[in-house]
Amino acid sequence: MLFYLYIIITIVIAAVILAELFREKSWRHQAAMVIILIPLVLRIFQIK
Amino acid sequence: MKFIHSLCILALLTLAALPVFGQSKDKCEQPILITSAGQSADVTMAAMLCKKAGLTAKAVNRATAADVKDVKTLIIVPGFSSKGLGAAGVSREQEMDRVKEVIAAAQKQKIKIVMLHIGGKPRRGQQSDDFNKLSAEVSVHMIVVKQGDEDKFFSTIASAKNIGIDIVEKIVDAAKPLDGLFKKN
Amino acid sequence: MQRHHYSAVVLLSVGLIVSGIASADFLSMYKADALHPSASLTKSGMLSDYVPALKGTNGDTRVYYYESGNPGATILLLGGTHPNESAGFIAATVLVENAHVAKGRLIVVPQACASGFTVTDPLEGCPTHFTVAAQSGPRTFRFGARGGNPLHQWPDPLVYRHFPSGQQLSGMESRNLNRSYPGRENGSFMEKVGYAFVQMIKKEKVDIAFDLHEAAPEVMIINAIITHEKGSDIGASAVLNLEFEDLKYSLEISPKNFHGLSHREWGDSTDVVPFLMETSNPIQGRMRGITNEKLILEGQDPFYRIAAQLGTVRITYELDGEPLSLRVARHLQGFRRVVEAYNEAHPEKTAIVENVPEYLSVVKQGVGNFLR
Repeated sequence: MLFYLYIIITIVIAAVILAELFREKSWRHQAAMVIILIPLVLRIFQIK
Repeated sequence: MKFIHSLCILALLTLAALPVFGQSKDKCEQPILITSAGQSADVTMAAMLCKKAGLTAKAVNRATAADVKDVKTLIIVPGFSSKGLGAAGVSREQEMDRVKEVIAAAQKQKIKIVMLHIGGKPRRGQQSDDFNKLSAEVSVHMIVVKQGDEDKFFSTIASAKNIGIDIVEKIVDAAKPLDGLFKKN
Repeated sequence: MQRHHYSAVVLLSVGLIVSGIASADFLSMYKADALHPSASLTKSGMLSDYVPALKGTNGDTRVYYYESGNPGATILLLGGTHPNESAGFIAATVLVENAHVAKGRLIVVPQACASGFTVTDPLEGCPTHFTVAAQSGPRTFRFGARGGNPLHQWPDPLVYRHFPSGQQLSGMESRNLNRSYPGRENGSFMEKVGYAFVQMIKKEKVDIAFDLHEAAPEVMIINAIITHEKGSDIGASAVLNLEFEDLKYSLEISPKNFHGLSHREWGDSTDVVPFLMETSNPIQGRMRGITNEKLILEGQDPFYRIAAQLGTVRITYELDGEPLSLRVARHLQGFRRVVEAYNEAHPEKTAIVENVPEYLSVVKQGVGNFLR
């Protein structure tokens, strides 16, 4: 149960960051968001 | 002049013979109690060495004053082992108190104490050396595997306290000096 | 589409490429190491044969059986309980690829903690693989983590309470196979793995068992043979025989109040006489410098060398290093002498394992010469 809750939270955070990525005007901030997204993607797919 | 010569020769012969008498007088007797000081498993190997030397010995890791009652020699095998203390379920302080108690009981009953350090480097260092020093200083003889005396820790105690010491290369080499220490039954 | 949307797509693509590269690297650790068993292999099975709940999970691992057909003792040898202790895994692999059993049986599990081979320990900077020059050419093996992969057992509790003793350890130890014995059928992932090994020991009526490990040079139990109290005489005899060959080992008896370890729990819950052996592995140490494949293979570290020369800290480190060949050779020779000592103590039920490479051969020729 805790595991699925964790994955849902991770997906929600990733989705919010992704949405913000397309709203953000500064490419520097966008780059920072992408860097944050990488570990979240790896975690959602249970790779790392 | 001839009389003085004869007297000198007689005196020299007497002096030469003294250590021989001394040695035979100082020989340790059986039965033997082997105990640990620090709860290392070297006690098991010490028991094997005694067996190899044909000596009657009983190994009791946590011997108490009561165990010393019917023995004539106490062999202490010092060396700290955290795993050994865990196996015995005692703390280092409790172990130190027990060793002191056994030594006191042996000294009270005039039982000879022999120290056998066979663990080499792993049984040296801060944790072990309190046990090593304590048992070395009260012994009448020490047998030490060379690796444990690289810094002359035991040799220094031996010369300062005038205690006999045998330094051997390997654990198995300790059987011979051990055998030589004891009167044969 | 506005300008910042283009930059978002470009950066997102870069992020996905980086994720892809990282994923390929991480997923490469799931590729099983190829082992080439000797012709004497009777059969191979899986750990899940003893606990079906492990089937198809990352805890399942291959088990190699060598049966002589002549009645005798059954030996079990585990490598890779801690997958970052390569000498244990490679020594077990050498046995798998060379052993011939003339009497009794030999069971080998080279990668006991299969889950731990799929990941490395975070923040340690360890390589994922190392390559050994084997008979057939270069062979690559995985270098894993001390415990199981956190993806396979998550989350770590704040405090790990060992079953059944109730002993408390740090949370990460819940993924440590060598703190999970005797385990339980319906327990955590690692408790199930531990339980499966205990069931194997019981079902196969194992008489003598080995668990091969390594430790940092500053750990006090380096070059030690640790056994349950019922193995003390056999251990002492083996240590004396090893000393004849100038191989210094210290004998340690398993603490009764330290639970979860193979040398304690296997001995307490089964009839087996367990032995755990340790060698000195600089890559596990806190003083080490560059952490790479070379360090696994050659075991040479400049900082340990300085420490050994200074002599101010108590470490077990040869000035020429602690190469993998030397560490594997020590494990194999320790195994040989303990089995011999067991045979002396139990003449009515002995085991004879042949083709175990000699210590000096492994040290001089290199361990690769004994890998197919």
